[in-house]
Amino acid sequence: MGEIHSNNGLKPIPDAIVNNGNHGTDTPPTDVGGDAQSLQPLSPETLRCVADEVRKSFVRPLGKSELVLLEVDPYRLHAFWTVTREAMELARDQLGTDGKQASMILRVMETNTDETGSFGGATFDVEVGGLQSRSYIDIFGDARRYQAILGLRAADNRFVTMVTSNPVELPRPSSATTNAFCQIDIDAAERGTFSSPSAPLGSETSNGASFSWFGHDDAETVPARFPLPPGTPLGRGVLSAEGPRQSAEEPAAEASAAQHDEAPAERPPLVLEQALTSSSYGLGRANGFEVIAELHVHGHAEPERDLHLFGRKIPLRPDGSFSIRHILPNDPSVIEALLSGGDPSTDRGDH
Amino acid sequence: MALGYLAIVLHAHLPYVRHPEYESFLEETWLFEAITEVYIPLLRVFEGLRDDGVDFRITLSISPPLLAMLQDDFLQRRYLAHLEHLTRLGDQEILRHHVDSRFLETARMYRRLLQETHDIYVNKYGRDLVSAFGRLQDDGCLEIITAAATHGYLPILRTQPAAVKAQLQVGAESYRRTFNRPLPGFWLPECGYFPGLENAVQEAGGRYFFVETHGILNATDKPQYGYLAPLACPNGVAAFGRDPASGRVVWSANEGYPGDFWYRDFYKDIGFELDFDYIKPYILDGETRIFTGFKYYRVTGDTNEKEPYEADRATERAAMHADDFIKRQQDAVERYAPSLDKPPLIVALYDAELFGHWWFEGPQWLDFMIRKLAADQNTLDLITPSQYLQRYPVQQCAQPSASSWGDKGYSDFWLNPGNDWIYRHLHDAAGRMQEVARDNPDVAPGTLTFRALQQAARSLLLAQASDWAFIMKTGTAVDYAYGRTRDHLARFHYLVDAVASGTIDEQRLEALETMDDIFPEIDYRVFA
Repeated sequence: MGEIHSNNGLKPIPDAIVNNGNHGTDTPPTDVGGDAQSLQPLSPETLRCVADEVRKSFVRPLGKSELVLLEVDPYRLHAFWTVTREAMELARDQLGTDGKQASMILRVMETNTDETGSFGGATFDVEVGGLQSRSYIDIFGDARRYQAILGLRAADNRFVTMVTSNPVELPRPSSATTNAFCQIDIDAAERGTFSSPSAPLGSETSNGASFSWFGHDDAETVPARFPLPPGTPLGRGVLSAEGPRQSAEEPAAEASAAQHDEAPAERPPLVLEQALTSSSYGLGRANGFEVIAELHVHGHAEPERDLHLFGRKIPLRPDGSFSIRHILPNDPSVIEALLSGGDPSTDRGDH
Repeated sequence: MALGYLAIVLHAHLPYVRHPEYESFLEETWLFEAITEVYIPLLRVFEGLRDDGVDFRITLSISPPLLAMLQDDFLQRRYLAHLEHLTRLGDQEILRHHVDSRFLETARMYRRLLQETHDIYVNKYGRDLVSAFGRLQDDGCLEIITAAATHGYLPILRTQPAAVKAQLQVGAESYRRTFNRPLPGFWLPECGYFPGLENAVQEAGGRYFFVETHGILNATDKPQYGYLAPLACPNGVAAFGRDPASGRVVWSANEGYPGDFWYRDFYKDIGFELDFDYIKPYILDGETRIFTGFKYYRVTGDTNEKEPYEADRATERAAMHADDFIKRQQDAVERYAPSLDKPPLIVALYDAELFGHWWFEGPQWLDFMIRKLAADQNTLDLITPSQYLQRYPVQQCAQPSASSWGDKGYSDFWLNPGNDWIYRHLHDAAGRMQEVARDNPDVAPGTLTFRALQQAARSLLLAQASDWAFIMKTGTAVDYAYGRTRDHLARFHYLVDAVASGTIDEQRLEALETMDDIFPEIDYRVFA
């Protein structure tokens, strides 16, 4: 099909703007074909006009149902979701008369560390809301792999799933406890060739530190000013890996061992200061006792409107969403939300 | 042979800011300031070292948006106009201070630097700083690498793997076209790493990347060399861990060198201090106060009563701090080397913009430090990651841990209630881009559909820049960050809608191509 040249539903750019302020007729441009050189250079005003017009394309209708999980840090997940109205109604129908009062729940589940991804651990529920919203989930267990489902839970705990998330793995919060050690030859991995090791493992240096596989003379030349071309044979004994493109999930130790007739000798750990081998990059969870309670008020409105909550104006993001945190009052209180601006007939409040 | 190695890595990046739709634009001054205060001073330092026969090697990451802006004729012309304004301001400043010797020398210093900058920029480099850096690489002094296409924070973009792949591949292609050589390694934006990312790095041609210290220390197996040697990921790509101590002495606001009382204070700038009518003729649009670079006071201490800046004293401090830095690294190497069976490697990562912009004396410090390393000692050798891997191709194999160099060490800075709203939109748009790329595998180049798809890919990449989430979190130019995110996503959806409906307005397309003029040779199918 030939390309149709049209304004895609937008008003034509007035000639006065296209012609850099030379006032002409309002006839829309008729020659919009051909190559770019045949078009007049675009003035800043024209560019701004286009930018303003195109901006309307930002607001999108609700898409398909989806739940996405992301790891924030070793103890926090972030979830955002979209649930279509149809999916919500279907879920409510499945719960029958209890459907109307059912809560929207984000059910977070530990998954097994094996490759089945099956749910093997603890599960907990977080009450959430909104067809399109997001939430943070604090993790208190030691498990690293999680998945979540978003659904409706009735008063009798019946649960209907609306959408399932991707699996995530939280970052490791501390050093590995094993001293497993394997090595690969980066150059061999790149070249896709492998050589069998020519250097003995486990030989000692004169200072007593374990020295495993260097077969070259330590008295190397001063590094050349110009880097050596890749693939230059360097005459060293190397330890080879099973394959150059291992999957991230494949244990490297297995690959290394597979290359040799015998399992590599376990290399005793080098004596390094604790600070250099274990991370104390913690999040303060081991220290102190702290309780924080706050009210998180969030939602969405038309982006052009003015929103007031707790008696103050709340900024709306370009997509109309808003999010504020409010210290819990000591006494019972009413949260008043007022939406104004735009067509006065559509002003409304809520409590 | 040296007892240990020091790899200095400078990462130069600015968000892609280019607004031909306005006669002038405030945020473009970020680039202009950086050219004057960072990139040209660094070039002068490196060229001076090379010309003096100093044996050195530094790793320099230049992000694709910065490469594009430095090579952009439109921005080059605007920069020159900005420089000419400031030079005239320099003339006025000398007149203003002619009776006050406390400030006259400093005013003269700025005027001289501006004139030299103009002369170097126009006559020596022909406005082409990228080629100047490239020549230093050709001479073996620099190892230049690059980052993801628009500096997208990959651990969050991974919700759509095509987005990660596109960021790295477009970044790599930008590098190859610019420098006409293979890419040695990647600077992962914000050192943001997640397990498995090395596969995309390798696919894009990178042999190494950098992670924050705990990315190494919390790897799948305990790192036997700590962070003093890289880890080889299972696919052979190397991960170099940042040395925390060398970072602290330079970065820390409390204990770092830039806070020294004799160094120039950043914030007391005449652009914000003096009467507006005086400043107005020399700035941007004549309406908006900006940093001019004319700063006359030193840090002095924790006080608002700042003392006049004395350049000679500051230079002395820079030399002293260079000595101190070398001594610290030597001490570290001498302490750890006996425990290791290969020389320890200290990887010192910094934002390039620290040197000269935030820390005015930073380039001097680098110059002193490199000269002293070359002349006064033989404990430490400077090395680049590629050279290190050439010498030591066999590395412990383990997978680093997810990490970043942001505050708290993970994704919090880019994923928090201040900016999390953008990710659903980025996720959705990346999914949509993948669909449209797969649905249009063989579009003829030069057609409107092809151009629209190319431009949609550019718009999406620009929306993915981590800078917007960063700015939203820091709260410095939030409206601008909101606007950029919204506008790029709007342009993306507009273009994809147009392709889907078969109705493409060529004039609007050309306008979008004019405004977001990056990656001219992008192939939208990188998202497929």
